[in-house]
Amino acid sequence: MEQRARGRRDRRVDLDLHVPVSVGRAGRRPLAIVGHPIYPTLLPVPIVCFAGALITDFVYSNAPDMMWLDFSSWLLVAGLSGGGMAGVVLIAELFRAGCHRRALARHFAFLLAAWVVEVFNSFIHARDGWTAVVPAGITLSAVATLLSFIAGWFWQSARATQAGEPR
Amino acid sequence: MKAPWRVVAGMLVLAACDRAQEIDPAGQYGAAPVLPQPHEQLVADVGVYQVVGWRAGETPTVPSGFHIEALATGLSNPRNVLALPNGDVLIVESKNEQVEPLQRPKDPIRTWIMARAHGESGSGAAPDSSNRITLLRDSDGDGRPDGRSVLVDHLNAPFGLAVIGNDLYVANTDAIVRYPFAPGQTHITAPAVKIVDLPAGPINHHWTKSLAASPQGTRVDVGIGSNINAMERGAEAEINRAAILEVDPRDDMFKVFASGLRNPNGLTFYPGSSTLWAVINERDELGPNLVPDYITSVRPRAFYGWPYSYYGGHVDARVRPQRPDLVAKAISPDYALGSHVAPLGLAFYTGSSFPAGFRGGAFVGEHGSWNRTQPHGYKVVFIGFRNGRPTGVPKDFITGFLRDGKARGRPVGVALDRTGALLIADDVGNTVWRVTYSGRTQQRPRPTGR
Repeated sequence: MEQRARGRRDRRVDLDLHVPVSVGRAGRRPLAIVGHPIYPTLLPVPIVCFAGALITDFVYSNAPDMMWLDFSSWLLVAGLSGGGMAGVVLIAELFRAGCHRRALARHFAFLLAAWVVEVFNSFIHARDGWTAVVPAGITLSAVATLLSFIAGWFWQSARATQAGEPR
Repeated sequence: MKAPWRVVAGMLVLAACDRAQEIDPAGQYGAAPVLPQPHEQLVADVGVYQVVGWRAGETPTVPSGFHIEALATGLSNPRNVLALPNGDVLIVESKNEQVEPLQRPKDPIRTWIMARAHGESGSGAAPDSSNRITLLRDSDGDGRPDGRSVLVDHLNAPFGLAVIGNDLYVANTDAIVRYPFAPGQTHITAPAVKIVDLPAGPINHHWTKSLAASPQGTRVDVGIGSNINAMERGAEAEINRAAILEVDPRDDMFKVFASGLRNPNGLTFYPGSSTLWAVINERDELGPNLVPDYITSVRPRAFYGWPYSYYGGHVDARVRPQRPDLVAKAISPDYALGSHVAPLGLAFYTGSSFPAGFRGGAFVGEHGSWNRTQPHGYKVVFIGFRNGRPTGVPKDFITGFLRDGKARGRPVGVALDRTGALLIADDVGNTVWRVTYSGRTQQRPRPTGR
C-alpha cells in the first residue's frame, strides 16, 4: 500500500515540469496557527453559504417574502468574504504545495469559478424583488453551489494525495 | 480544467450584453409617455454629481427678460418656501438625521451615493444646524429682505407648510403640528400642538411630508412617500404610505385620500378649484428611461399603481405577490415629466407680473436624477395649462444648477410671492432664489455698468 502510493506520487512529479526547485518536491506543511492548519477552517464558509443562498432562493421563489431575498443577499456576502479569505490562503498554499500543486490547483479553479459566479449573482440579488431571484439569481446560485461542491470534492482528493494516501 | 473558465467567460459576455432603452427621452412628456421595456442592468446606472455650491455672483440661468437673484443665502439645506400675503417669506430648512436600519448589503452603498449627491462627503463647509423655519421680511418692498429671524426651531425634518387663518401648520416627518401665528410675528414662542402622527417609524425612507390646506381651510392633505423603491421592505412597512392622507385639522384622525403614489410632493390645489395636484417620484432601477415621474390631479380614493404597476396596467415584475385586482384599478396619471427628474416642488402661476402665457401654468422644481448616467432634471420647468389641464411639453425655466459635471445647487420647493415673483428653495446650494420678470427693460442698455 505504502509502496504503491509513493509510486503514484513519483510518476506525477516526473510529468509536472512546473515545480519550483526551491520549494522541494514534497512541498511544505500547510499554513497553520499553533500547529492547526488554517485553510480547512475557511473552506467550508463559501461552500455552506453558497448552498444556503440556494436554499433561501428556492424558498423565496416559492413564497416570495423579501426576508428570504435578504437572507440570500447576506449569505452571498458572507460566502464571498469567507471565500475571499480562503482564496488568499489557498494561493499561498499553491506556492507551497510542491508536487501536490496540480490536485490543489484543480480545487482552486472550481472554487474561484464559484466565487466569480457569486460576484455576478450578488449584483443580480441587489435587484428589488422577484427579478433578483427568478430566473437569473437562483440559476447562478445553483451553478455556484455545484461548482463549490466540486471544489470541495477536489479538495478532499488533493488532501488525500498530499497525505500520501491512495485515492 | 477549462470548463469553468468557459462558464465564467460566458457570464462576462452575458453581462456585457446590456441593451440600453434606446428611446428619445423627449417622448416621455405629457399624457401618453413612451414606456420602453424594463431593463434591469447588472449594476444600476448611477450619475451623481459633486456639490460645489455657488461662487459669489454666480446664479442659475433664467430665460431672456427674466432676472434671478438670491433672496437668502447661507441657509442650511432649505427644502421648501412659502410666501405669506403680508410679504413675509417662510423658508423650511430641513435635514433628516435618522439613519435607516440596515436591510441588505446594497443599503450602505446606496446611502454613500446619496450622501455624495447631497454634498455631505465633498468640499465645502458642512451646513450648521437645520430643521427650523426662517422668516424673511422685506419691509420696504424692494424685493430684497431686510429682516431675517428664526420663526420656529428644533423641528423634526419638517417639509410641508400651510397657513389657515391664524394657525401655522407644519408637517414634521413624524407629525403635523400647529402653532398660533399672527401675520407680522417673527418668532413663535407658543408650544406646538400636535394634530396627528404621520407614518414615520424606524425606516422612513421618503421622509418629506408635503402639506396643502384646502381652499376652504377645512382639511389639510399630506403626502407620505413610500418606505423604499418597490416594496422591498415588505407590505407592512407601507401601511398608509405611498399615499396622500386627508386630515381634518380639528381632529386627530386621517384617512387615505389617494394611494399608489410612490413619493408625492408639491401638494397644491389648482387656483380657483378644489382639485388637488401633486408631483410624484416614480420607481428606480428599471433602466434610464423608466419610470417617468409625473404631475397629476389627484382623484379622491384613486389608486395610482405603486408598487404593483405604473401608468395604469404596466406591471412591475419585481413586486411579489402580484395583485392583479389592484392593477386593474390603477389609473394612469395626467402628465409625465420624464424619467428620474425627481420633482419635489410645484407652484401654479397665479401672479400677474410674468407674461400672460404663464398664467395658470405649473412650475415644477426637479431635484435631478441619480439612476441615470445622463443627468435629467436639475432645473425648474414650466408646463402650460389650458382649461385646468397641462398642455404641450415642459419648458426649461431655470437651469444652470448643474455645470461641468458639478452641482452648484439643486431646486426643491417652488412658490410665488405676493408680487408674482417665483421663489425657489435650493437645498445643496443653501440659497433661496427669486425670479422676477423685467420684460422689455431687459432689452435696453443697463443703466449702470459694472
